[in-house]
Amino acid sequence: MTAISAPAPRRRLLDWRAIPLGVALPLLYVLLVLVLTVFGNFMMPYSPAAQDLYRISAPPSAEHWFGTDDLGRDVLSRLIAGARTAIVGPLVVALTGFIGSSLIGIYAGYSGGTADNAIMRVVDFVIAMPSLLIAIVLVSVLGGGYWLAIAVLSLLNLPGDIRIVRGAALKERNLAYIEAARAIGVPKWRIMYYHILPNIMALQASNFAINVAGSLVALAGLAFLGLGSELGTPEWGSMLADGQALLFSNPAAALAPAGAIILLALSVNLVGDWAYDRYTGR
Amino acid sequence: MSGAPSKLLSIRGLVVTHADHAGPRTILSGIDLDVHEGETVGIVGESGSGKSMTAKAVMGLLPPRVTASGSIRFRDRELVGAGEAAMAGLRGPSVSLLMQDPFTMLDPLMVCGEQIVEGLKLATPHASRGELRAEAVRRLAEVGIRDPDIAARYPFQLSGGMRQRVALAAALAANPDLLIADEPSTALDVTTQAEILNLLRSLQQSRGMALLLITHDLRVAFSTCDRVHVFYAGRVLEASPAAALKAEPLHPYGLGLMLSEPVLDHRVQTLSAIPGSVPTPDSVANRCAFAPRCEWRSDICDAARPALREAEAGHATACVRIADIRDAMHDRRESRRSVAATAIAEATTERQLLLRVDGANKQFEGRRGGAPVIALNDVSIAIAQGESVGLVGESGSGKTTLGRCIVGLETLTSGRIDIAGLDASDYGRADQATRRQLRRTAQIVFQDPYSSLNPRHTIGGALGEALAVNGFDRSRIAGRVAELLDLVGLPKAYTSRYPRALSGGERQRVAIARALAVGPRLLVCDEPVSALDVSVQAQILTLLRELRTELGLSYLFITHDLAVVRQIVDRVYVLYRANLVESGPVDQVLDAPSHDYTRRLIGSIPGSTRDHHGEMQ
Amino acid sequence: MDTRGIASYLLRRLLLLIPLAVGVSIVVFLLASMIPGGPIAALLAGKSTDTATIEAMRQRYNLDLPLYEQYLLWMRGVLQGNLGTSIFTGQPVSAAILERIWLTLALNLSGVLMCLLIGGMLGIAAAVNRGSFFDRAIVSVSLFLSSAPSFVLAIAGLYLLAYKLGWFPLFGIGKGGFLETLRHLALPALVVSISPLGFVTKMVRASMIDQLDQDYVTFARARGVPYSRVLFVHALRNALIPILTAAGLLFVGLLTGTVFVETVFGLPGMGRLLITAVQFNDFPVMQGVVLFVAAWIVLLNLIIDALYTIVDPRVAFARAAQ
Repeated sequence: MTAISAPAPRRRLLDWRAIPLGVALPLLYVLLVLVLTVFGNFMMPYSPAAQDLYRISAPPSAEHWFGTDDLGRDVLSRLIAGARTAIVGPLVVALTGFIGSSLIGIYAGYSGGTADNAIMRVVDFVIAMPSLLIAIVLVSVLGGGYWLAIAVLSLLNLPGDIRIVRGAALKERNLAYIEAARAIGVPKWRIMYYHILPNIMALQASNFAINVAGSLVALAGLAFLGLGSELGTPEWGSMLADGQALLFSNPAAALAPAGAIILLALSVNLVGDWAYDRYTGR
Repeated sequence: MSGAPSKLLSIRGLVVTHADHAGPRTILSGIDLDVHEGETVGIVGESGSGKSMTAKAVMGLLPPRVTASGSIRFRDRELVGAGEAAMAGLRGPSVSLLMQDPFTMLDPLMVCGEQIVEGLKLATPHASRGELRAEAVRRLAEVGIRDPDIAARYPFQLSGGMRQRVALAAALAANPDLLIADEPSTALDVTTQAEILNLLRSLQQSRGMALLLITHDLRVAFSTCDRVHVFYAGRVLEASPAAALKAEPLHPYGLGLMLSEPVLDHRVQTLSAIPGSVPTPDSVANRCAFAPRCEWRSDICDAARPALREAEAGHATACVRIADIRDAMHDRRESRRSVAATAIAEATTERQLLLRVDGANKQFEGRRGGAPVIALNDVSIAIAQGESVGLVGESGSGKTTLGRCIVGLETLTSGRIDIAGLDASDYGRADQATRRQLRRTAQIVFQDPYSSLNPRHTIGGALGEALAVNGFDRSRIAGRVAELLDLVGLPKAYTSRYPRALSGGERQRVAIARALAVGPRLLVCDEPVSALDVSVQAQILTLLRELRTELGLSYLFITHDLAVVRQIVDRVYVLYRANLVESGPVDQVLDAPSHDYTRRLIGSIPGSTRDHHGEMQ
Repeated sequence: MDTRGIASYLLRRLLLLIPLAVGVSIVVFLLASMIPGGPIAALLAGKSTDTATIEAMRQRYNLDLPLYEQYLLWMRGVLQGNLGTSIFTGQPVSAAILERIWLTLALNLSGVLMCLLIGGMLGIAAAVNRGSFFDRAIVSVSLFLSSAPSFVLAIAGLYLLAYKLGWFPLFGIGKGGFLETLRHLALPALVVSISPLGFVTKMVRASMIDQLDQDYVTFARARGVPYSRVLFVHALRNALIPILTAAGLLFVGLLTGTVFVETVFGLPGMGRLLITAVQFNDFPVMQGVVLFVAAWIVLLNLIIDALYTIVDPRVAFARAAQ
């Protein structure tokens, strides 16, 4: 019964009052982290590398809100300084996934045939593999480092996105509007990227959020194992690993980065879910 | 039946609302309806009339956030607000529901017999496995499936018609007193439709059960029901014995619906369409729901909501002006009987040939490595300049495949297609210029107007693209888009609208405009009206008729609907299982069919005056 | 169902795996050459040695041979169950893996059981009560759980449940004895299942909602089939098909989580073996563990593939027909 619903009134792109509290708070947190990546330098109480040798592994106090670590460095300042590594990498991974899957996934789904078969064979194989374990081995074998980790994760992440987008493109391909475009002589590239892509943007947006959250966790995991940035760089994952030894003297040194990671992943997921539901009008 | 049959189902003032995100939305606004023991009652309505929701309300199976108020009494039990436990006890042994789509109604992972046994257990809880199984086989025989092995088959191994029979057996397993059948034949092929309707009729009689038949098709209701209720925008506009309604509808909507049905036996001068489209119940809350589309509307129609009142014994109407307009309605119906001249030109051969298909063969690879499927087997057709030709057949006959091959969406396995002297057998191999020339000559209109427009592009964008990709001068696109909209009867303001703001009929107009953008001479129309409501179908058919005269177009009109064919084409080809079985002028083929399949097709139409042998009864 | 058809299908699947296995083994073999400075640098591990020692080392590890011959030699060993020896402990890699595999398997299997049972029940309950407060609570909690990585939960659990509340031991595997081991593995098993649990709950809920919206559910209810039967015999069985697809991801997620959890809790499992090898460039161990994990995943996918045949008759018939 399609004719029941009256045409929905055009919604404004974003009406601030329409955002429920359960989405507004996560959104604010994500924005805060984004602000910290740019202006963090001006907002840290101490330099992230400065050592206070009189207060080593000190519990939270008025001077050091989250206490200090085993080298007497201010945990809060390091947390703020780590915001950039925490969010930039995941954004790069998600962007690679978005661009790569839009190009390859739509192509495979729309074209079908041999190209599709070949692409999907590779994709299915990579998806079945435990990508984080492979990343651990590859990153360590290749010598470690933040950007190497990002590159490896981007590559391992891409096949999953390609499969999702390919499935969506395949579904669109069978709709009459694509047939109509073909019949009228619209070129193939234009059908793929001007007709199909806008129709799978809701999926791509939610996928972007899932990728940001997922690679945030994966990158933190690599850093946790010492496979991230160089030693001493403030990074939430490695702070967590270092903090484990301090659980009995200053638990905040471990719990603060733990909270930061979980909250960011959760926030991104919440915002992504909400955006998807809104876009698809559920 | 002896004596006055007692009331089985009695609906009074039924209101159904959907608590939408945007606020409450009315689906049904005050329905009255009775079904007596052993009686067949029809609900006829277009999409959005609320007819299916009535069935769900009776079953107590309303979707989430949809609530019912008012009264539904089954025998002496009130069902509104009865609670799930009470409803669960009624479903099966008292009232059961048969749905539309045989491909989704049965559990795909369960063998057919088991799905019947589920219902048998309700009627005979103490029967043994063996007894139940034997009974399931008997029940299959009751619905005309004599092969006991079918009980062990999965639904995916059966055809649509077979699945619908199995579903019917499952619905009847617990021996209900009332069966609600919601469009039980709509998703099936014409010949199968007739079989299922006949089966329903005979089961209703042999079991003496009551049947509430929901359909969009007046002909189906007339051929099956004792009484008919006409639903519109969530209310009943007319309720009457079927024969009385057929003889004389007493509401302008009932009349309009009847006149919109394409006539099978002759071509009419003007197809009468109801202007506009079905409104939402809330937009017509306190007035006559049909007033906005009614030619006899006056101020009194908008003053208050007219009640359903008996105008004649047993025949109730919700038209307040019926006494004033009854004669006018009568005249309108009479004018329908005038016969238009068909076969505008017999001398096809003398005119220039526009399309020629020679020995077309098409095979598809079997699914998952199965045997290849033959879609077209040595099919040859021809269309002259300005001629309108029908291609008739059921699903799987290959008719759509042929249409798609002609416009280059598929490629023939072998055979030849010529369009205006150009080789169109394989668009992929043709050079760019030829391909463009072919597209400028032959275009296609699809069945489903809801998916044939890109939801993310505006109407202007869609039409503009069709022009731009075919090398149309960019500075003149805007002007040409406005011309095209005007050509199909849409206002210029639609340029900036998105498809979701348009009704189904309006979308189909846009789809036609897009196909006409490049100025083709041949339009392949693939079931262009079968997804539309009856009242809108006639609008589109009229538009296609006008366009043909205005632009001198040729049509290849692909359809399963013989009445539509009668109204729009000069000549007709009949396809049956990939083979061309009959062809000729439309009057000749429909009035004196020579092939057995064509005869069966004609005999299957509900209310058809011919039996299976093609002779007058 | 045609059992022989399905058996031959599975056999064909197995044969198709051969080129895949060769591909994986080549990649795994090449891991050693990817190390900066090549395998020799890893073998020397920073110690400076004279050229004669290096030359002896190269001969001992066949590093003087062309790469493809090295591969063939290595592969022959692998096929005979010889994965080489650890550079650091000198222990045969296969023995090291076998010694530790039980712990990783125990964590994974308990995780699978926990996720499928609890996640399945919660997901079904949420789907049935769709839109209710209960449903929204389940959705929020499962989203929270699936956002929480195992290593973060491990640290938090260690602090809160083991240190603050003292419910669980802090570290290691204990001194043996079944109960003692169980006590030490309880918290790691819990931690490793949390995030996959959120994933399974979401998955089951979505899949059940999908099925509950289908016509066949309405039709079954309309002809009087009891709701419990509609739910568990009709809807759930159909919902299993997408859930089965996700089961592969569940195993991968658990395996990944185990690596971190073993590291945090100091448990002697395969994950920790891998991480230690990674930290010291102990490439024979790395190669062995990766090969082992790859075989494990491929086997799992094969099992899942076979399960489709049991759950879905359409797949069974199509496969038997091939």
